[in-house]
Amino acid sequence: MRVRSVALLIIVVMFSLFSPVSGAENKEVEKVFAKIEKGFTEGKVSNFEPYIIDKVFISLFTGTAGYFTRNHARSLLEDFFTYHKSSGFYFVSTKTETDTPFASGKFKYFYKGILRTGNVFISLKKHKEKWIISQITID
Amino acid sequence: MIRKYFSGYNKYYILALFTAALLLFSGIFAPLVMDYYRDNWKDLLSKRLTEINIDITEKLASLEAELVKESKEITEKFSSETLKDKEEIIRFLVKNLDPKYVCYIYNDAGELLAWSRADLSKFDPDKFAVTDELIFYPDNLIDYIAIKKVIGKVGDKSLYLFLPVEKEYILDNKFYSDISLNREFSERYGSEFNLIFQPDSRLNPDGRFYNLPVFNQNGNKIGFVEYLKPTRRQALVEVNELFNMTQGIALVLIFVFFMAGISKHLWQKESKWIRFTGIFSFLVILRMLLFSLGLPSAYVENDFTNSAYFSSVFGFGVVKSPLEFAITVFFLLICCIVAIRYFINYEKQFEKPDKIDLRKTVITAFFALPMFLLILRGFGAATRSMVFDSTLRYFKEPTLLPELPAALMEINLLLLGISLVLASVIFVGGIAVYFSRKHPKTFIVEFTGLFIVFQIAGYLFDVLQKEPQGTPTIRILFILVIFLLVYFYLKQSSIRAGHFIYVLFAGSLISAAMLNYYNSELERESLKTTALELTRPNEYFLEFLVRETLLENVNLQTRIEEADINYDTEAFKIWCNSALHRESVSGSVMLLDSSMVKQGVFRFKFSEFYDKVGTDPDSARSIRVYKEDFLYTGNKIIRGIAPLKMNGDENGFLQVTVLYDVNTFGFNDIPGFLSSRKSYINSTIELEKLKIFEFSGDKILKEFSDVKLSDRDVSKLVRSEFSEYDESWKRTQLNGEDHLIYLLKKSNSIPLDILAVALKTKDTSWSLFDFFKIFFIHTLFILFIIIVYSLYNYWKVRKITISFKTTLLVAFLVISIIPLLLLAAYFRNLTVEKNDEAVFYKLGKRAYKVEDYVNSYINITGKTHDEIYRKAAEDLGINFALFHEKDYVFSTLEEYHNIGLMPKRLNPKVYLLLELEGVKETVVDENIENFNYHSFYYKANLGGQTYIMRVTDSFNNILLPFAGVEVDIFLFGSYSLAVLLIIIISTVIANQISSPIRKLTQATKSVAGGDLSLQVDENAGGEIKELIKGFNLMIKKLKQNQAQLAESEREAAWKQMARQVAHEIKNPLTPMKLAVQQLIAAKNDNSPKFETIFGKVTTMVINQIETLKNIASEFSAFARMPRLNVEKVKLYDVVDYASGLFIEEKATVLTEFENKELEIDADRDQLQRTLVNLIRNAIQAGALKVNLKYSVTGETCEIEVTDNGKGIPPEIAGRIFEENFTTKDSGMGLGLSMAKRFIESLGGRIYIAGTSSAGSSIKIELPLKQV
Repeated sequence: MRVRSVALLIIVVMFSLFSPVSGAENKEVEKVFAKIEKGFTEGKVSNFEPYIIDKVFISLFTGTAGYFTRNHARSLLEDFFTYHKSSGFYFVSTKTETDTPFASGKFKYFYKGILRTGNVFISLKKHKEKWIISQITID
Repeated sequence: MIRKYFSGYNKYYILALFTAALLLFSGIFAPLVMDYYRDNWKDLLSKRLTEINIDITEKLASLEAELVKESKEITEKFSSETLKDKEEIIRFLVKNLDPKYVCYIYNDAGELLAWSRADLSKFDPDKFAVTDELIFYPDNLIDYIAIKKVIGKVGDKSLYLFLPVEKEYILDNKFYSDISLNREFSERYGSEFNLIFQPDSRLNPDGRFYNLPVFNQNGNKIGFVEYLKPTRRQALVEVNELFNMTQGIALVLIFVFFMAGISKHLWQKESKWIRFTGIFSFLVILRMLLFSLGLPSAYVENDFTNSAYFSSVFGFGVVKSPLEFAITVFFLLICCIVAIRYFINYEKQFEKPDKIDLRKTVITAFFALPMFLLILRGFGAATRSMVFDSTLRYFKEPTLLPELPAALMEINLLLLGISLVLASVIFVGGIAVYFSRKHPKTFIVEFTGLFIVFQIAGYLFDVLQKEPQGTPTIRILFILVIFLLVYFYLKQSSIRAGHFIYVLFAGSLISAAMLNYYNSELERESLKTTALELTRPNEYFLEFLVRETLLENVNLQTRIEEADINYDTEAFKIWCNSALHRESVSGSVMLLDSSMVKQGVFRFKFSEFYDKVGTDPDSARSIRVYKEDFLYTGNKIIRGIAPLKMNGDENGFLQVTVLYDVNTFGFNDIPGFLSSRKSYINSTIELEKLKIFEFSGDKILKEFSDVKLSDRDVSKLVRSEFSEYDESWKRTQLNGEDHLIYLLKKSNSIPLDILAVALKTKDTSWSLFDFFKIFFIHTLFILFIIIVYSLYNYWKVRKITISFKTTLLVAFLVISIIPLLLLAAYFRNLTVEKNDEAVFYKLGKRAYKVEDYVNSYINITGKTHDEIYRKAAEDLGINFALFHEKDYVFSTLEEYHNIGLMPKRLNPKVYLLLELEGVKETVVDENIENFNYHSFYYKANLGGQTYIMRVTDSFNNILLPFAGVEVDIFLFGSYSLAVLLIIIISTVIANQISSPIRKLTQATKSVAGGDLSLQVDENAGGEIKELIKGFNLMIKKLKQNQAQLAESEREAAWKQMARQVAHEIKNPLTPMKLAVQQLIAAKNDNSPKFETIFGKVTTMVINQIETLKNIASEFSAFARMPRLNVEKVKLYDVVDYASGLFIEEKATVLTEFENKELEIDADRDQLQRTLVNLIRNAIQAGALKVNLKYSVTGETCEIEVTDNGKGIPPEIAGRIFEENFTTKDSGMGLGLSMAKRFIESLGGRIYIAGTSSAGSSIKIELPLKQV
């Protein structure tokens, strides 16, 4: 009995030590995605700006793509939301239990008075123990 | 009365009020307009639709007219020439047809006689029911407008001419040129446009769409345009924006007018500081006002306002786009120009040495030195931001003229550099002026010391910073240039507009150097981002792309299973318009019918091996995406399939497959015309310049490189030391060339998985090219400024003066630069010829190899010809195509022919040469889109059959000895350096040669102005020295002669006067003598009439004495000075003229005045002569600096001439104004005495105001008005 308990304890400890993303991590990722979702819905970059750092990859259907500095990325997205006024955004799918969590969604916006839809892909990565955005693609 | 209110500064207040009224009015008017739009939208929409319809109809009409015109021209030319056979007809078409058209000429028997290079996928002459009538002709990839004409002398031939109007695909790269009416109108109206090329197609039932029929020139319907009607919402938004913009502009105008009005009070202020602060504040507030109102960026949407090109958060966003940056930097430049003007005026008050204060200078130094270093750092930071916060790549393309956004940013950088130089000159000049005024004799030494202090301070400043901006070399050079400019400024007697050219070029130099430096930093960083990009694509992202492509195309409006449609082309179109192309992902798009049989496919870097139909129809009733692993290779396939619906009916299936390739980098061998601009791999540096390796332990797993690494190289790289972020930088030699390498540890597993990205160090010609590329644009802009200024100057003075120096300089440049350019052109032509020969040889070799290979297999195996050709291509690694006569037979690039990107008919020029003229082989230039390449055509004999083989350099890598681009780079870089050196040396030499001529010119003017005591320095050689000697001798002789003449004239005058006096005096004396004699006689005779005689004699004597007195007065008046020509004289002109005569002297003559418009009553010539005399005396007394200053005190004008000569000795100070007094060996001693007489004749006085061993001061006081 005692041996069995110890073995069980060892298994539980090993599992919690080696599982890719713990429950707390998961919650952190979800929080980030929630902020991003809010930002896209309101058309405000400030909601998810803390998760943007230098060398974030941004690709927009306007033709802009590349790796941008933090400041440039912010200006770019602000400009994007200025000309493409958000009419709503929601995530279609998210995957958080991975080293590179990602989510894809639908972005509805007005451009020159016409309602259009774009597809959004966002991925995160760990940087100095913090989750940051590694890629934003809006097609 | 009304005019009074609009006069002077009052008019600005009136304008401000008027604009405010307009603003108020627009505020009231705007909601009314919006309501009007809401209530009358139906009518307004109708008008709008009419406008759009007219626009569309006009555009289509212009295209029709273009086609008709071209067809008419060809027909007329064809008829006018005698073309006997097919060869002549083909030759005619090759010569006369514009390449953008597709054209066929058939005879009556239906035989194709001639064709164009551009080709249709499928030509159906039955579509042309009527001759001379325009129709739409939709083809696979491109839709045309077309016409059929009957040509030839007997009308036995038919000409079919096609003009492209709509490309149904978009390639997101630099080679693609768009032709699309749909996209053009969509962009213009912000709506969705669709041109339908079938006149009997079903109209769109969606009420939001408007359908406009399209008619040809005969009034027959040939198609229609459907488009989304403008919405009321958008119209209201546009009206609102228009009012916002108008009100914003009105606010700005109110501010500007109001400030213009109150500026009157500013100009009246004595203090220059207050005036400067006022102007500066106005400029800053105006800029912030423009920014806060969003003018102009909020109302302009183009490349200049695209924040992707540049955006920075500096200053709350005043530089958030290239245009905003331009506006901000323009305002900054104006501030700096105003500052430098005030500095120059402010600095003039320190001309008197005792006015300059050591304490003030020390305080200035404490402020100026740190500011100098800070603004240099600020400039570096701004340049860094320009490079890193931008997607513009200033040095990536080896082209001379950049695109407009990049050109604007380069000019912004130039203006910023000029501002930096101006501000730096103020800071350094503020300190240096102390040494210049106080210690002119030791100025050079002290100035050099100051320079060293600045250099040391700069070095220490860099040491203190965590990340210094720029390099030590740039900092040292910059400080040197600024000090040179300050030295030049302090040595000038006056600053002219032309001197600012040095500032402009200094600004260009520093900005080009800084931009180059940061670009090299970016290239370094790009190695890192390339590594990141290679690790970016992951399965999830690819899955997203697959799903997105399926979702976008589920409602494909093309019926699958129709025989007439090329489904390979349809698959290509789907691929083009999807993210698969934009992300340059390896994959395929496949169209399947309802039984899952493949109908068409397009593959991009994707092997057929991976491409199979994934599932059965029943399990694909909804979108499915799944993955498949290939254990052998380690690759993964992500495949998605979706059912297609057309108008609600089932319409087959769409399958999209992408490859997650772990074995190659995936961007090998992408043909340029299919590459994507968005692919970040291409972003900063051309991909071909990178070398990329992936190592697993000591083994190379993947590589993209034109060099092979040795084991030692590999070992060196994998054993690098990595930082805590798993990265490492290394400089090492690969294949004997220096490289910078970035290494990234992909995982920490054993063996280590390392990614290495390497870039060869730029050679000198590239570095020169990069520098001069920017310098070239700056020079163009500077030349533009010079031309504008010259035109403005000409408009003011209405004359053009070209100096001798300028003529010399232009002559030197012409005789040096023209041969240089001719040499460059010759060298380039030679290189191009050599490259053409190399292309011919290398492609030819490949063609012969293929021929030999095929012939060795063709008769001995059981394979089909196609199989043998494919095997040849695979085994030899050569891409080729075969034609039989004019028809396509085989190509290793079959898919491009199938989809219509490459024509299936032989190039007519090649047909002419090889088939008809009997030439064996040739090279022609061909293109797909704007992707140009060389094609080698060769008449090959394959298994006894003659074919024309084509081998191109676009699909077969060949290395040229000196590629065209490299030649251009080398030539431009090196020759620009040579031209710059020629310009500098020519300027120096022209200056040296013209200097004695200039001095002579000035001396001549001085002589004309009455100064005969000057002598020109004989520091010249040859004939010029003789000329100067002769001139000096001439002046001496002139002076002597003048003195002698004056003496003779004086003597003659005195003699004449004496004769006259004697003569005049004799007249009254004679009767006086006679009268006295008569009186004596009367007295002696005791004449009874003695009393009467006495009275008469005394009266007569008194009268004669009166006469004598009058004679004396007359002569006294006559002996006075020559009559003065007193008139209103502008004192500034006299002072300026007098000081201008001494420009070529060693001494500096400066002027100071408060009122440029001051006028006094005086004799201009005499006054000029007086001032010239005083200046000349000061210079002859050893002065190096002479200052002329005038001012007004009450009703008196004071002119003061101060110098720093040796002063007037006290023992002679009281005598200098005496006649004939002089301390010089030569001279009459009349100058100062005449000056005194002249001044006193105007009611003024001249006196010594002060004198010491440090200099003297002579003051002239004159009444402002003569009574």
